[in-house]
Amino acid sequence: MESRGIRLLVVLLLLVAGATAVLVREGRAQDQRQAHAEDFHRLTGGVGFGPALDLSGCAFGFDPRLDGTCAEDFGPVPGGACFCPRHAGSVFFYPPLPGEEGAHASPP
Amino acid sequence: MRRLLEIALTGLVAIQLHPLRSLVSFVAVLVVLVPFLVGVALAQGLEADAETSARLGADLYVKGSQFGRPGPLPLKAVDAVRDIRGVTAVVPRIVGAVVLGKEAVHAVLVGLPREHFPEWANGVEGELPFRGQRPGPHELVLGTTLARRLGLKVGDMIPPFYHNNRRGDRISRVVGIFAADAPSWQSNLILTTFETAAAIFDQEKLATDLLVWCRQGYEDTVSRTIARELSFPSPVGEGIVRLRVTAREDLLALLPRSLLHREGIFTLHFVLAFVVGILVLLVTSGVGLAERRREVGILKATGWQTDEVLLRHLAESFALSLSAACAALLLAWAWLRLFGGYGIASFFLAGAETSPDFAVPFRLTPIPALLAFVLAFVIVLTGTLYSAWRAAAVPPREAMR
Repeated sequence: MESRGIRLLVVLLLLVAGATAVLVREGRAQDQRQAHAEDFHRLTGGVGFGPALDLSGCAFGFDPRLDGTCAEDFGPVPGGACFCPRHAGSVFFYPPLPGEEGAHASPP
Repeated sequence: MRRLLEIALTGLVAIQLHPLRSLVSFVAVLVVLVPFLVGVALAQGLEADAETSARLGADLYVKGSQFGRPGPLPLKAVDAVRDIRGVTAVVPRIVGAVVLGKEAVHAVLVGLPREHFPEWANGVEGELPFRGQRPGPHELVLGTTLARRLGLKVGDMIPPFYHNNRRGDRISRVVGIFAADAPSWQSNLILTTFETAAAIFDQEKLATDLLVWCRQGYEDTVSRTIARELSFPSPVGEGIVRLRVTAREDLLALLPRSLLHREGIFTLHFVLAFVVGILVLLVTSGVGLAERRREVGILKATGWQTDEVLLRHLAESFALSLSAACAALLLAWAWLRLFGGYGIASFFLAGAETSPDFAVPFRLTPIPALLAFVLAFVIVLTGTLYSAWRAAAVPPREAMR
């Protein structure tokens, strides 16, 4: 094989090794993060669940334990569940807690 | 076998024969895969943190309810719940929103009884609010974003930021700051004692929720008993406060349903993938067809068979897509880990700044990486294999024309 082919093979192998190293490293980092998370939740009694970082606008997006449904979820209207901007789009959506669906929603 | 390997290795050389075509394919695949991997990693990180939060929290969360809306509970509910058979511990908690500073920074204030706090915590730099009673300023532990935005560090004093008509306003002291690698919800959090939280909100003898721990197997019974049998006079003197219970299982049940909804991001990226894939197809089979036809014609004139030509292009596609998928994984990791999700974290975490000063929750796992590679391979293969087959299927003289 030509030397430029070998060079490319080396680059390819380096990329594969780099990607594998990242996956292994992140697997280990997750354990460390878990230890800090345990500390935090023991201190606070379990605070935070959703993608919002404060209570302004949508307590449900911060933690459904504080408020079981989103006040801006107008679900029966097509696309009505998208009015509240505090749910990370479709990346981390979760439905209202059982028995609390529509507890807050008023007609738009 | 050796010959097949040699043919496959010539695929690597073929990448360098047409650098522009290879570069276009490589970049097109990167454009699709990097946001895909970042989105999936953030979603998985959030989900893992949410699961930890549900798992490490109390067995049951009890809150007040009036007119179907959440409300505070009188503290006498603590004893009533503690008396239920199967309950091992009940801790009242206050969680509320406060606004601080000239910039009106939104914060979440959490107050728990002093005896709930341990002597020392790994995830806090500094101290925890004092376990015993001592006069002086309120003691607060702040989240990292809050501390930075307000320009506060351990030991600093905060002038009164609330009004309490009965007890008067008091200054507060920052005794600790959460570690940056604690879960993202710490970023705007203030942790303090129950008494301090009650004074700040000027709500005596009330809690926003009760944390209840039960003996194993008693959760359902306790939950039913609380919801059906307990109610208290409203703190305002009129009406009744009923109790609503959220069990750990209720929270954990939300997570599989969130997985189904994640199809949204996949759909979006598959649409993107096909748009970019079509462009690649145009470049490689339209713009690059004449080049490819000539190359294939020469190969066939020197004795190569059609299946050997296809194998060479399969190897070329494999190498291109593998390198693009690996590079996309490395870029996604660098974006999230080294640059802290600069720019993208604020899209996924409501309330986060462009450059968050906490560890953005993400998980890069092998399955999305493998999926990224398969997606890249399909896109690149679509662009190369069909045009190579068309060129290889005609006589060499015609292909070289």
